[in-house]
Amino acid sequence: MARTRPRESKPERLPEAPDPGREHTPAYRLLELQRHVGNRAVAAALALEDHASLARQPVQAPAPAQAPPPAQPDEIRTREVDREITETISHAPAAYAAWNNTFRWRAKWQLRLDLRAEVGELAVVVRLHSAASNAQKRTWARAIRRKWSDKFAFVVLRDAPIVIRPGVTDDAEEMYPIRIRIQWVNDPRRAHYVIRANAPGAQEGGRAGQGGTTSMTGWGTADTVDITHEFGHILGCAEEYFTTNGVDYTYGGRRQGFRDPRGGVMNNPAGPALARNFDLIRREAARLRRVPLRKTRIRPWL
Amino acid sequence: MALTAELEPSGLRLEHPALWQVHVVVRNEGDESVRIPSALLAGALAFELVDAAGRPVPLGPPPVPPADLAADTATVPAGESLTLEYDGNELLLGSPPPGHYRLRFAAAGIESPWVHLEVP
Repeated sequence: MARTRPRESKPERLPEAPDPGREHTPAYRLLELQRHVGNRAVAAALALEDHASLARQPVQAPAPAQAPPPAQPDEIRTREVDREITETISHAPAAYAAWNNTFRWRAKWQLRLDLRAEVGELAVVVRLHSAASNAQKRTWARAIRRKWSDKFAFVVLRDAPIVIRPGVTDDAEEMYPIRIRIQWVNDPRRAHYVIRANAPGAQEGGRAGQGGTTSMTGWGTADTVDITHEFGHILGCAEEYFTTNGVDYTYGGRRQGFRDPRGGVMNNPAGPALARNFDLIRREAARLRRVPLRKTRIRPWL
Repeated sequence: MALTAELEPSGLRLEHPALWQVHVVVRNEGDESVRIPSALLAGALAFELVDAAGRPVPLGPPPVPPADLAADTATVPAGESLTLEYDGNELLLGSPPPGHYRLRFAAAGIESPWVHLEVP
């Protein structure tokens, strides 16, 4: 299935439309290799290989193992994250003036960095509790994973990029695809969040509205779209509509400013997750990996 | 506007928002039905919380504004009332610091009296 490729401005610029011939390029093959055998294995191979011959011959990777080896001490690192997030919305049109305010919440999850070359992933583990049915929970979790999982990677940069051939360099020492793991727990006290299941219109007066989603933790039983925006708040993302934290999402009035067709998920829940939406994850992952933030990036995971 | 509101929390001590509820009754004492956009009744938009010094306490993030506010509405028929139930974590995603607070419903031009709360 083709992935949506959001357009983004600073600081991360995403690739343009897919190039049909790119799978034959060394850079693409390198990324493919990193996906299949692990980042550190490829990084180690690159470091050992002669760069000139590397430009002519792709790295020969070992066959992928059937199962990853047991983790050695410090190969799997975890960190409980609990960060206060504040956003101030302004300049909403008159009918939406209720949105002009300051809002605050806490982004809570566990970050799990698996450094094993055979695995190489950064998992965001979110423990949720809900009285919803198991089928409903699976539906929500699937929608969230499709929006947020395996779209971007946490990248640790090399001190100096490797030249693969003239004009082609690789500056990524390690790449960890960012994956969302939702764990449904029975005990609400163990949960990062308690999710209330709202049937659309079920409450007296129909407060839940279409789809049923009313808040970051009030999810609609008929909704698989707006909940992906609400999950963005759990990850630490602020709104990207009207003017939020001083950023004008109407682009000087050229856009509606919310639910824009070209907007990312925090503007338009039907839109894609953007690299900047992983900023808190990047900061926390840099601490977990014990590297300076400036040596890290969020890049598309092809 | 002929709408009034009364607010009744499940307890006056707020220990854990997820285990706490707020019950709001909106009464229409006028002669005509009133329609309120459902989105404006979202917890983060429909309440005000202030601390002992009167400083606003930010609530959790609001829902994404609907493309058409009038597409989903709650109707309060003339002479009747609308009952709204909120879980505490629709307003607050964590307990504020210990202290005394005041909470009121304030949405679509309807304001309830303040209710005093204590966070132990």
